[in-house]
Amino acid sequence: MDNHSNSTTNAVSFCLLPSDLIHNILLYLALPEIMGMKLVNKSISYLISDQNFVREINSRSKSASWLFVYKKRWCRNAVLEGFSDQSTRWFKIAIGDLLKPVISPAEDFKTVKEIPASPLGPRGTSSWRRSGMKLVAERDRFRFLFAELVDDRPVLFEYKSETETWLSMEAKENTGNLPRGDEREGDCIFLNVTNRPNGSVVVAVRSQSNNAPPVIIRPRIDVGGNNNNDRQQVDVGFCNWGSAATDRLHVYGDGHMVIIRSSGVDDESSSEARSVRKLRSIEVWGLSRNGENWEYKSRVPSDLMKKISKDYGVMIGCLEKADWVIKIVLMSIMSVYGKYSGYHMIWRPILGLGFYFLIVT
Amino acid sequence: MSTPSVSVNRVLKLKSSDGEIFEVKQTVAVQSGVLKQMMEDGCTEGEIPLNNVDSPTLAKIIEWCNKHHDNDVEGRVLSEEREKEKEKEKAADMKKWESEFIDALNRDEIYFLLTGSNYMDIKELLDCAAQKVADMVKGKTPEAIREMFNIQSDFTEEEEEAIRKENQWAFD
Repeated sequence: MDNHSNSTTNAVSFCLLPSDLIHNILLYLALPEIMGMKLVNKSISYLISDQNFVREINSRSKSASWLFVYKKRWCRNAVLEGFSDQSTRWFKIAIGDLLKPVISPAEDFKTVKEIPASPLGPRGTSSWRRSGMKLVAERDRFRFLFAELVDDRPVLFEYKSETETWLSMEAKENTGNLPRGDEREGDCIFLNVTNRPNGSVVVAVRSQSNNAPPVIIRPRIDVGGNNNNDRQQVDVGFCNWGSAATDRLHVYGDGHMVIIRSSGVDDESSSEARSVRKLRSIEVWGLSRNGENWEYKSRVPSDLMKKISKDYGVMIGCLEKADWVIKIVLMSIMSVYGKYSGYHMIWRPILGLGFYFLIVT
Repeated sequence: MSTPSVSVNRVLKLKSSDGEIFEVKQTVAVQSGVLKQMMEDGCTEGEIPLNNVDSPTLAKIIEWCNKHHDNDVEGRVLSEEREKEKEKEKAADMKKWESEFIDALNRDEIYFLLTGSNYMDIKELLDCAAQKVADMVKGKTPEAIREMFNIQSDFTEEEEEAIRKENQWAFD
């Protein structure tokens, strides 16, 4: 066939092939590659837009095998990395535009901004403090708030990106000026100042900053039934190996609380039997109408508890409420004995995906 | 549809577009949908003109068909006598042969093979050639594809930008 290569080099062009042959070739490509071919020239772009061809692609796509990996990063840079067995290579698929309608501005800042230290100086952001902080983002501005005891009085500190300044305001006791129940949904930001086994100190701040002073509320916890509960050790946000007696972990955020109950696992082979725990229940509590109590709302169904109730040693969690959905993230740690490396620790999500959602009705 | 009366010893005379005559056993030629139909219709007497296939391409097509015919014949015997593993080995050998066969062709030869196998309706060969062209495209930018196939872009900058924007998700 040597005579072909010299005499007809320009005689046949890809674009001169019959359209059904070009379609046949394109069907061996993965979808992003087909879309890439649209840019080659108009005739190919036209062939790719052909409705019969589109139907054929869609039909074949159903049986295509893809492996997708998503790494969370800024929404505008969101990329899904996909591996297709059709092309045996990785593709980067930009999904920022697809995510825009479902990602709130709070979850995606256009710039990374370093804000000056608060009037109290640098503060920690450890797990137990997170319920006392809040970032409220709008399109091109944000507010960062945290509440802390200063001289035993709850004080609100607020940074506004518009003015690039910190403001502080002492919170006032609740004298009936706290919006009640549903009225305050969406209208208040709740920042936990202190969290104790029998109650909390929470500061409620109006979402729309109108210089109204923040209100102190002191919801009490009555877990009921067992007088020993108050004496029980409670961890907040994080329970660690040391607090072997801890059976209750409280996770706070956005005017809600999750109580995670666990029990020690009897493991006679271990010298630290009580340091291994097993999840027993997860309950969601919210503020009562007048803000004086934590009220039980719902619990994770027992069937689901069976699925997630694995042994663990240490657990951390955080809670966020938005649009009537409470998002709870729980991560546990378990010591694993490696033959060569000795004991080491592995963090793992309680659920496979690391997220658990409860819808409060 | 009636079964074509295929004789093991009978040959068809295929005439390429440049006038060369190729003799092919009927049992081999039956892989072509067009020739199979002609056999069913009893239209295979004398020379069969293949006006869209030149002689170098027809030689390659017949080489392909002969190889697959031999493999099929051997396969029938083997499948009765040997284990499935042997069949797998044979399939792998055929895959290797097909790969070497197609890789030895230059771009234009592949195009002619595509059009020739399409004209003669030989699906396996058509798929193999189409896969080869697709493999040449994989992982290349539109610019590189244009260069490889000697294609001139007829988009204005605005049109190209509009397509990029519309299909932004697909571009790395």
